[in-house]
Amino acid sequence: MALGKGAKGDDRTAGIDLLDAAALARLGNLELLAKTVVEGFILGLHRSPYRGFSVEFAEYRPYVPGDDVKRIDWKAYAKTDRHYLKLYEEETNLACHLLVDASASMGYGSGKEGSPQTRTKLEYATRMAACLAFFMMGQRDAAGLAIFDDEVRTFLPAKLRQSHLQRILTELANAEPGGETSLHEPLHRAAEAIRRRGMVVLISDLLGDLAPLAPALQHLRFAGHEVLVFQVLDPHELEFPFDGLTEFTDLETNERIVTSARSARTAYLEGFNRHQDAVKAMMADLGIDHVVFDTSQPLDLALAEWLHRRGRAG
Amino acid sequence: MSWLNPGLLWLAALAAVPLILHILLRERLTRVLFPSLRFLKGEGRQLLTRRRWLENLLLALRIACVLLLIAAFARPLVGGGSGPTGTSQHEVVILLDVSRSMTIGKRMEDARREAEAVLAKSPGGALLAVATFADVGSAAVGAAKDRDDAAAMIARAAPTGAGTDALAALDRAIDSVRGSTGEIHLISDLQAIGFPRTHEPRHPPTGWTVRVHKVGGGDVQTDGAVAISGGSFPAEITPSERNLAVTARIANSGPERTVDAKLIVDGKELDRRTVHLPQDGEAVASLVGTVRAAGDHPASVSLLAAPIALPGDDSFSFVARVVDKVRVAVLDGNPSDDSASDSAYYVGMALNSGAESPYAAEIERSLGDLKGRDVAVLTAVESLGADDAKRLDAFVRAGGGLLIGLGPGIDPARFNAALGSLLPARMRAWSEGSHYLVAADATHPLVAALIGDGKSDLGAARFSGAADVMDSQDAHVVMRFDDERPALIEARRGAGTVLLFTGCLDRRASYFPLHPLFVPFIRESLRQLASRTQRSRSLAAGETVAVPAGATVVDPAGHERAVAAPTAVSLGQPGIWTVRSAAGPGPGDGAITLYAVNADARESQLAALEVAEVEKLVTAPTQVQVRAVGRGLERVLMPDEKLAAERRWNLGWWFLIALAALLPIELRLAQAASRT
Repeated sequence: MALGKGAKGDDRTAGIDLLDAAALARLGNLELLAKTVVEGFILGLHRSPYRGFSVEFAEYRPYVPGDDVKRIDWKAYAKTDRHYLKLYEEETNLACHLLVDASASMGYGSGKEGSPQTRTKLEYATRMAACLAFFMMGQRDAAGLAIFDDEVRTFLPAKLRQSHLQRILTELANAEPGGETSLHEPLHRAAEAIRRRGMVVLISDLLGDLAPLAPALQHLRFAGHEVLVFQVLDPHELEFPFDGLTEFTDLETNERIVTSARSARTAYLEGFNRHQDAVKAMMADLGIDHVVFDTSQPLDLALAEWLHRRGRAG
Repeated sequence: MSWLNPGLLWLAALAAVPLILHILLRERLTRVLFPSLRFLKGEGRQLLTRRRWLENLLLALRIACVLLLIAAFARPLVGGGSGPTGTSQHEVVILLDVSRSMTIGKRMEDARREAEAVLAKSPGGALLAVATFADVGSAAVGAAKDRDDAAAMIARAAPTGAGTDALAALDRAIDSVRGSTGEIHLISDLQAIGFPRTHEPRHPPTGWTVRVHKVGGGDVQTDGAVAISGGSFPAEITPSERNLAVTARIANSGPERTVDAKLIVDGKELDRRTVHLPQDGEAVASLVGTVRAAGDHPASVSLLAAPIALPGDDSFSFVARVVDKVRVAVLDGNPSDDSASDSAYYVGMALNSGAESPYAAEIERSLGDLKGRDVAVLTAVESLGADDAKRLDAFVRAGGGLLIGLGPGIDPARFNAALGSLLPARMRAWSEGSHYLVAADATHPLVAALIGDGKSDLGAARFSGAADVMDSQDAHVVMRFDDERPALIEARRGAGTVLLFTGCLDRRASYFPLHPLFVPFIRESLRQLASRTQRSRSLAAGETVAVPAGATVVDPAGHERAVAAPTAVSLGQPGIWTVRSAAGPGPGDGAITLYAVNADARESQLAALEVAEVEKLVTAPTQVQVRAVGRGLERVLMPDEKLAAERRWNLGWWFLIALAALLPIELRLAQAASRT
């Protein structure tokens, strides 16, 4: 299924367009293991810290392998000869906020038209956010969205409604790369705006200044959120495969540098690796799970790999 | 700067090749939008600047390499072919002819007057130089200190007995010029022989002119003159009857006539002959005299009452040196008790017979010590030992004479190997057949002595066999057999002379030893060989001799000149010059050396060129082109001048060296640029 905004001959809605059916099908067999034991992420696996809290029946849903058999409604089974889980409105699942960086640098992509690789990092990020939102909603977790560059452009608080999912997907589909990367301000805003403790997933290339980012992430942690940072990078940023005389134009500042790419490669990679080392060190200090996604990797495989890793760690 | 091969400069367009390649292969600028340039700042720009600098330097270097290569092959030269060497002053060079022809009439006087006029007209402050010249090597440009010095040099100029080579003098003058501009005044009677066609005239450098002044035009009648054009005489003779045989070649440029020639030794007339001269031809006068007293004797051959064009044309001087007997070693190659078969028997008899024989010959079975011998004779000797061959070679090259007689039964290969390079011609084979002798060179002293005045008939001696010899480039055939095969061949080897007689000197292949010709043949041959073992003291006018300190030099006119320090004295006047060494106890002290000086016979050819002809020759407008260059004029150099100038600077080679030095630099730069 062709993904991406404006796909040729596509008359479907923008939100549906974002969903990779194949990816979703593969991811449907995986379990999302929350790092913390307090709040579950995938229905049937997490144990709520708010056990005994008032519950109100909301709906049944079919049993899926992995669900706790103790939660099967045996009465319904007796009637229908099928396994159903009984869900309650107030059965608190995770409130997950997806913070998507839509700065100009996220508009970079080395992927070619027709290649499996997405064209830009923002495309990769929005698809990733869509997938996560879909699963959140699918597992009765509330999903929220914030799209920002140097300021928050869109903020949707976490809700557990199908219509909300559609709204999230619509916003993601309409996301365009904008101004300079300035993560700390939007993160501070988000920390203040998100009242309910939950999970915050930051999807960004993290190419901004790291010094003010740490307090912003600390702010989120202080508010009780589990923070996941998904760093999306293009393979060209990782390998700098350029050669010859090249004029580089900064997507955010329009600054230009003409240099011999071959000779500048070493210096670039040194600087880039230093930056990445600093990012990792900062994330480790803050206890934040940090994952680097290469946009040349298929999104589903990348997420599956991370989930496996997280599952083993949990 | 100009070029020896300017046509190659078109190839300079090839310098565009590296430029075009540089443009075509230059890296194109690729434009890339990139998320963040924060990791590219700094070093990348420095590297780009360095790379640009390297590429531009490389381009310049490659263009320079191409240009250097082309320039090297175009062979650059700087300045003129014979440009002035020093000061920027104007210079006046006066070349005065003092050849023997200048003795005619008032030629020398007129020449001096002309030179003084040139001196008077020369601009104040100009450099002055005066040179007298005659034949080759006689011109030496002398820089005058001032005008008075130059005038004194002109006044001292006097004619000599030497010939004329004006072009050589002009070359020397051109080589010696000091000023940036100037004029060379050639003052001469412009004898045609002074401008030989074989001499490619040099041309004055830029800014210099050659002006020609002719003296003595029409003051002498050259038609019908007679002159002694050369002669031969033995350098040494031994005390004997009629021991001095002299020939003189007499040239006649007029009608058929007869002239009387006389031989004078020590001021006494010893012989006189009447010589018949063909019209516009040459004849040889053979004169014979007897001189017994050992030592040097001034001698001359003179013509009596002959119409001559130049003073001295009627005389030929020489020194007759009488020495002791000629000591001869005769090596017998075929010894036998039978005198008819003994190869050395008749040679020994011919040399030793007679109480007054000037020869002392010893017949030997092996070549002993040749020390003290004047001539060696090899009779039918087929081979020599290595030591003997080496000794004989050294003997000849040190000045000894060698007569070789052949015979039947000699193996050519062994004979040629034994005597090697001493042989005038290599033996091919012995062949039988009846032959008799004929003269090949009637003017050769040996032949002249044998057949002069019909004394002997060469053809009377019969030979039944003779050796064939191979052609030789450096030998002179004196006699032949009647079938044109060489019979007597002469060659110089070092300071000595070798005579090869291809016939037999014993009776095995002829009755020659019994013929009346045999004794004079042997004796004259050895006389020639012995005579030529000494350095000739016959010199051409203008030649120089080394005179020791304290010696006195007496010229032919009797003027004495004492020499304080060892010096070289130029013997300019024809005649007998005497050099008396200072008296003292040492060997050679107080010795008297005579030098016979004869004028250049060519100088008697008085035909002269006109001023215009000479000017055309030395500044030929077809050869000297002038073209406009920039704001001034530059003379286009002749090819030989260009070649000389190019060789002087060798700029082409320097360019190639520079190219060789640039290539490794280019390589290093290219590697550095590719790494950047």
